[in-house]
Amino acid sequence: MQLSLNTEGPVDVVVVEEARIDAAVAIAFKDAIRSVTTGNDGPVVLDLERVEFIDSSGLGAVVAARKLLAARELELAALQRPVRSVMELTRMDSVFVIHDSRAAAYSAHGSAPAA
Amino acid sequence: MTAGPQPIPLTVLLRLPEIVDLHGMPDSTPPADGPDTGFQECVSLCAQPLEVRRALATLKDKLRPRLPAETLDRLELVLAEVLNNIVEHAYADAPDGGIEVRIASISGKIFCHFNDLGVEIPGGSLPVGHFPRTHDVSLEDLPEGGFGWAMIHTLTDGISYRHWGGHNFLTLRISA
Repeated sequence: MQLSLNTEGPVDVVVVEEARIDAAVAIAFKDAIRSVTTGNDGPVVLDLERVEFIDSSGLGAVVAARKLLAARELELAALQRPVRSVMELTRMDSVFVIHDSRAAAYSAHGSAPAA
Repeated sequence: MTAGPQPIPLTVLLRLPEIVDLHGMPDSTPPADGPDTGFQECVSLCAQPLEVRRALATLKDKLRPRLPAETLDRLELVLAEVLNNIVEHAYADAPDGGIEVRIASISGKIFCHFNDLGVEIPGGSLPVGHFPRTHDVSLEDLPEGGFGWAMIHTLTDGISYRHWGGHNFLTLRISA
């Protein structure tokens, strides 16, 4: 399970470099998230632009990832249609903050906080 | 390749009264005779997650010319959920177990037939499943599983299951 980390923007981005988060890689995904460490405390955005398919095992792994990151909020970005469908089907789209793209996530986090 | 369950011809499968009561499903009666104007694709696999990936990819490649993209995505998801269940539960103690999947289009309806030699579903009937509560749930209580059967039911128009002669026979109907 290939993940890459981008800490250049206003918020850390973990990019899933795989086309599928499914039963075959659910455990590896959780392990890979565990080993993601940055010096930052803020939210983490999971960039799913490359992900074409997620099943209930994969969704469970993403939920587990959110719990692993605990105080650091896990948000999602760049969902392809099949992934968004699964999120909506399971109502998980109401549980995660979902950005249309990495750029949108940066915009959401890069602006100055309201007073 | 490990020997899998003996393939049963689709026309025989649909007519065996002991197997499934497909006729109880609305609009499921296939044409008695005459040419099959639909399609039929079949794949066999062993009960391993990477085999499930291979089988899904093979079926998608075969069906891509015949089905709209959204239908194909829906079909892939349902197939994945069922196959994952067979791998994890029916063949929990038998990682080389054989699974046969047949996808058939009959009279404009899409049927998916699964045939495996694994253990019977506990209680002999399909779990109903439910989508876990996601509203006002704390982080620790966020569900990490239990979605599979709820997803299968939501994505299908009908499901039939029977354990018979050492086989699990599962049939789904989805809309095109």
